Formats: sequence, structure tokens, C-alpha cells
Amino acid sequence: MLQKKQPKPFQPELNTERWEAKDGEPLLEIRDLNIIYKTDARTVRAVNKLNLKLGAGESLGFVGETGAGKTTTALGILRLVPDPPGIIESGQILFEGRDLLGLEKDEMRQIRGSRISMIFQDPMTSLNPSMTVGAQIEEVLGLHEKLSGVDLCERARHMLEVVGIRPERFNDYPHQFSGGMKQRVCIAMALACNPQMIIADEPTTALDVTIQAQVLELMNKLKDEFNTSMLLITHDLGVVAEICDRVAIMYAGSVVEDGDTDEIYDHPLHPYTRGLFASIPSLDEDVESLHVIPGAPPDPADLPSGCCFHPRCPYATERCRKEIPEMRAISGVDHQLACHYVNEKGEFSGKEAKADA
Amino acid sequence: MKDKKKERRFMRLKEFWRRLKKSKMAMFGLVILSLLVAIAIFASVIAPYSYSEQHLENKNMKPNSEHIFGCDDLGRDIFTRVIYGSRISLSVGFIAVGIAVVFGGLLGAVAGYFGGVTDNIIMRSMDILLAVPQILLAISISAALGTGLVNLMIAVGISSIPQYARIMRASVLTVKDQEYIEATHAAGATHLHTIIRHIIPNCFAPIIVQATLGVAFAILTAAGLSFIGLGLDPEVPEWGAMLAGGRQYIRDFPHITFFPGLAIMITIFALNVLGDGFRDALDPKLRD
Repeated sequence: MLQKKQPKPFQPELNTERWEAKDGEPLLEIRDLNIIYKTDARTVRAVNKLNLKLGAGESLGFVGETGAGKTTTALGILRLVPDPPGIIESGQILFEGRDLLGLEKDEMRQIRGSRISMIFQDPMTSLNPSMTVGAQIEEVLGLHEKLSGVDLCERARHMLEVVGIRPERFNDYPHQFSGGMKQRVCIAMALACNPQMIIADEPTTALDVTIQAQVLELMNKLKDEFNTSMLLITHDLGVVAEICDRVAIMYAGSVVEDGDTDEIYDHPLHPYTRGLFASIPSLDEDVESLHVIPGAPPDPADLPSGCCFHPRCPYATERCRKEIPEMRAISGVDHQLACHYVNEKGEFSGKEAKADA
Repeated sequence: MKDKKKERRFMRLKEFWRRLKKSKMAMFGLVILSLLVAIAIFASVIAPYSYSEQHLENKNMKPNSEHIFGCDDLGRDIFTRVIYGSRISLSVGFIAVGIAVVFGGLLGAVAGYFGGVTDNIIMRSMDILLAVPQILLAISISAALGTGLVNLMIAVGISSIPQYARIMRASVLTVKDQEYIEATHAAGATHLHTIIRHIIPNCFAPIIVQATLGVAFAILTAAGLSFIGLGLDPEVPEWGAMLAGGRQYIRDFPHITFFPGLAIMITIFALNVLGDGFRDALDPKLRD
């Protein structure tokens, strides 16, 4: 009992085998994913021809405005899009070399929580109020691992320690924890089976700023300790800069620009990405009003033709209105984007068409 | 290893007990109920007379020192019959409600959880059952099954399934859209696991309250069935049947109906306050 004072070095002894990438194959590759929400009145195209790659051990920031389809993509990976009305129309989600969309329901269930786990946005509601936190961690373990009662308990206590909660609180209920503590419990649950990949859906949005930093730091530390990949969904470009290796910018259901975080932050090329960066208030400048991207995100039930960003793009031309831009890689660096006016060398050739309409 | 598991279960029980103890009313209900159960178990020791022996010379005798509750229209000691009656009435009440809670709760949980066609099939069948007045339904089930204690319990139980199904479904609908249910799916839980471990425990409060009221109703329904001859033999003491039997003498000899009625009332009161206490003790949000 006394040794609890100094936390033991934690070994993630379960599921330590990690997927070995052959020929630089990514851990997760999404190809041309389309997810729609179909109601009687209209069809909402939440995810459109989305392409995404995530390597083993990598963390990817998934950035976009509200309604861009980030959460739908995340649920799509786990095949938990609410059906009805959601339908995964087409595409491929390759995880560890297998197409998740082709798996049997039972196989998929074994992947959830064990190989891929998810952290939800609001820790206040994502824990069962009628179970102790210890029991909830045990439960996740029990679903996937054949462990005896004592081992379950032992490991669940370990997990609490790992996320910085005293194991004595094992038998406490969620309402006895603060928001940040609850999110720590959620992280403990997500990591309990030592998954290959974690999807974190805006894990810090519901927390206040000081706690946000703690939770992010914890997630970043544990990600390395557990050798886990992470898909971090967020609105916050600052968070991405801090903890993500790569970043993908999403607009109207598809990725418009992705690549190495430093590269993108130093040379944002897509007009949308540049608009996002321009919107970040600067600490050293005193401005009257903040920069905004004009207009609003398109209605996903009625997407514009051609490049989805053209109605809001200051450089839009006739070509943008008609042709959907292809994803193109910039040579020499990890940087891809979908814009007609960027060449392989990363030079932008668009001209500001109209001064102000 | 097993000891540790046992120990933890014991801890949880202790915790529950500690919180239940805080409510004085609940403890009062529990004491009364324990007394009633003890009376039912030791009926043969406590009762001063035989419950079926008739002494017509004592017909409609008012309460006195020999027969403290008096005698009924056939000269049987009412005190003895009330004591023996607790056996039948309590078991009918609890078991019938048990049947209704288990089946009604499961049906309601499944209907609410899966929704769509499943929901429609289950709830429309429940609607059909609800369309028939409950006592009439119990009568027809009882008539089909025949008389006897077990059949009486089944008849009363089945006829109250729809209420529990409705209540359960309503609370499942509010619980199933909570994020923690989504989180259990994301953790790889099966539907069955989700329903049993997460949905039902969070929907149980209204069911407990309804069940405590339901025990009372079950006792009365059983009484009604006995009254029309579909329940138990008139010889068998049963509070409801005693109540019904004494009804015709209520103007001249109210004591015949008063005592079994009092017994029913005390039981129901004890159950209600205990049910309230249970609900509070089981609700983690009210824990400190």
C-alpha cells in the first residue's frame, strides 16, 4: 500500500504488438470516402471523396469549420455513423492493411476499443453516471481481454495512475470528478486496451484553457509512451501546432490541404488554409476587427459546383466554378493540396479577381 | 481471487446500505416489511387458531380478548386468517410484479433501444394488451390457465407487463442518445452488453417506483380474481378475498373488512416508502 507514493513505471503489457508498415504503407488510409445523411427531404453530403493518410505512431491534426464533416469521418472510421439516416456510400478505409468497410460486424466490434478507440468531446456526458469510473475502465478491458477479475482491477488502477488520478478514487462516480479529471478517465478508458490508434474528437473543447493544456500534454505524452497513432479533431490551429506531426485541413467534406505541420504552417498554399491562418489574432498587432473569410461554409445538402471553396475564394475563376481540383503533391516536401492555381513547385499563380463584390 | 470479487460486491452492498440507512422513512418501511415477512414465515407459530376451522357459534363476532380481530361470517378467527393471508398476498404481490418487471422491462428496453420495426411490433402488441382493461385481461388469462396460486401470479403478472414496458421504453429513449452510450459502442460493446450494463441501470428509477405501487395493485387484482372465483379456494386465506368476502356485511360488521384492509394498507405503505428510499440510494447523483 505504501509504494503508491511513487508511481511505478508503467509498461503497456497488453497488445504490445504493433503493426509493421510494409513499403511505407500508412496505418490508416482513407480513399475516396463518401458519407451521406439521407432524409426524405434532402441528402446531406457530409463527407465527399475524402482522402487521408495516417502513419503508425504519427499524430494527425484534423482541422475544419463546424459542419465540415470531421466527426462524421471519425465515426465513419469506426463504422458508427448513425444509420438511419447516415450511409457510408462508397470508398475504402484501410486500417492495418484491411478494409474496415468490408469487415463483418463482429470483426469490426473487436477492432473498436481494442485497436482503434475514441475520446469524445464532452467528458461530462461520455461517462456512464451510474457506474464507478473503475468499473468503466474494467469494462472496456473486459470486453476485449481475457483477464481475471483481479487482473482487470489491477490494470484499471494502473490506468488511473497513468493518467494522473489517484487509484484510491477507483470506486468514485463520475459526478465526483471535475471536467478535466473526467477527460483523464476517458483517456484511461481509451488507452486501456493499448490501441494502435486513438481518435480524439475535440477532446479539449469542453474544458477550460488551463485544463486544456494539461490534458493535451498528457495525451501527447501517453501517445508516445503507448506508441499509438492519433487522429486529433479540432478547431484549434494552436493545438495542432503544439502536438501534431501532420495536419489535414478539411472543407465541405473533403481534405483540401494536408502535409507536415511545420511545412503547412510555414507555407500555407490553399486559399482556404491561408484564410484560416489570417483569421488567427496576432498578439503583437492592435487591430480594430479580426480578419474573416467572407461568406459561410456551404450547405452540405447543396454543394457548389467545381471547387467547393469558390464562392468564398478571392481568387476564384471560371475554371474553379466548373472543374473540381485534383489533390496535387508539392515536390520535395510532405505537402498536398487541391487547388487549380498551385503548381508542383508550390507556387501560387492565382490573381485576386474582384476587389470587392 | 474470488474473495476479492466477493469483497467488492460486498463493499457495494455496504455502500448501498449506508445510504439507505440515512432515510428514516425507508428504514421504517423496511422494518415493517421485515416484520410482515417474518409473520408470513412463522404464521403457524404465531396464529392462535386454525385458519380454516369454522365455529358458526362465533359468527360475525366483534373483536374481543379471545379473538382480537373478531371472527368472520363463518366463525373463523380473522387474526389467524390475516396472518396466514400474508403468505399468499405477499408472494402473489412480489412474484407477479417480478414477472411484470422482468418481462415488461426487457421488452420495453429492447423496443426503445432498437426502435423502428422492432419498436413497432413490441409496442403495438403492448397497445393491444393495454386496450383490454387490466382486470379483464387478468380474468381471461386466469380463466385460460385455471385456478391455483401459480396461475394467479402469472395472470396478474402478465396483465401488468404493458405498463412496465411503456415506462421502460420511455426512459430508454432518453438514455440511449446520451454520449456514454455512443462511447460504449466505440469501445466495442455488443448491443446486449450495452442494454444490460448501461441502459437498464440508468432507466431503473421510475421502474422501482412503479414496482412498489404495482405490488399493491397486484395484491388487489389477485383479490379481485379470488372474488369472482378464478383465484384461490375460498378456504385459503388471502387478504383480497377476505376483503371481498366481508363486503356484504360492511354496514353491520365492519371489522371483517377492516383488518385485512389495514394489512393491505400497511404493506403498501411500507413498500412505497421503501421504494422511495431505494430509488434515492441507487441514484449515484444523490450520493455524497
